[in-house]
Amino acid sequence: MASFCPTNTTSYSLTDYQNAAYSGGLIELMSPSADRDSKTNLLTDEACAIVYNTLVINDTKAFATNVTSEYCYFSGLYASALQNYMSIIGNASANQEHVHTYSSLTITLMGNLIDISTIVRYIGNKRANDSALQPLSNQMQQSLQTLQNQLGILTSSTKNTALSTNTQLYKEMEKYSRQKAQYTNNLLAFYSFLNITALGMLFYIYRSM
Amino acid sequence: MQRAIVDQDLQAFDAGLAKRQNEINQWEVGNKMDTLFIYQQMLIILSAVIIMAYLLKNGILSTTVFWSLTGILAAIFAFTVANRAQWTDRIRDTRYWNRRQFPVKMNPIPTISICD
Repeated sequence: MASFCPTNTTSYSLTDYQNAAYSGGLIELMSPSADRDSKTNLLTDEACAIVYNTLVINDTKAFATNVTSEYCYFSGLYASALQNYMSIIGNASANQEHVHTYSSLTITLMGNLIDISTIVRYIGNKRANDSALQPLSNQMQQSLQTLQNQLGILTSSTKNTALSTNTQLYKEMEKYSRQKAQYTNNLLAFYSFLNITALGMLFYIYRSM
Repeated sequence: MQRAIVDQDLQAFDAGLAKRQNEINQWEVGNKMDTLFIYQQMLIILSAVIIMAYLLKNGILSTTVFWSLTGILAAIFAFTVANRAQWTDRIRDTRYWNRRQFPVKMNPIPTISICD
């Protein structure tokens, strides 16, 4: 969690993560199909410019407070979702669908934080002389770096979980096909016995003729 | 992070191994089912020959008819065995039982003309 947000983690429910929205915030202003960098998946300068042009910043302090509040709202949700996700993947008998839901929600919430940080960084660069905005912009710059590292770990963990699910599936498939081969062996033995009996009967009839 | 990548590689290897073993098992099952088909056909033919031999013994069936029918049944059986063996040996895909192989140098590749 970022240093400028409250450190105590509030507990949220799954519905809270799914319905996460901050009225009048930067995420709400952003188009869901906003242009992103193909490599880093960060918002491009053009996408940030669209949000920046939509904003009317008369009072920079009020804007910084509002952005901080929005960031902390998503940050609280993200920290809680991450905690839940970690406790779920630690459970060997966890429902895979549940794991997938939590991992995608955690990544979405983290994505919101990264987007806010990217937009604030862009605005900070645009208003380089605005002293009220610079501390926030610097803090966001730092948290962006941390978040990107965390995203790498989280994506890798999600991939690991998916791979583990696949391995489990293939192992079960292998077990099933092995059993099927064994049952076919029983049928083959049964028909071998029937054929030998039939040959015996034929030989018996031939001898009696 | 490096450890996570190694774990992913190991898991992918494990999954690949189980997947391939499953393919081998499926091929084995297909082969056994084909053998079972031959055994079943053999049983049907033997049962038919037993009935015909019984009829021959009781004078209901003539020797000519008996040997003619037995010959036809034996020919059907021999053709089935040869056909199945030839298909598996030359045409069947070596990895997937239900797939057929096409010669690599087949030129031109045959197409189905369904719009004539």
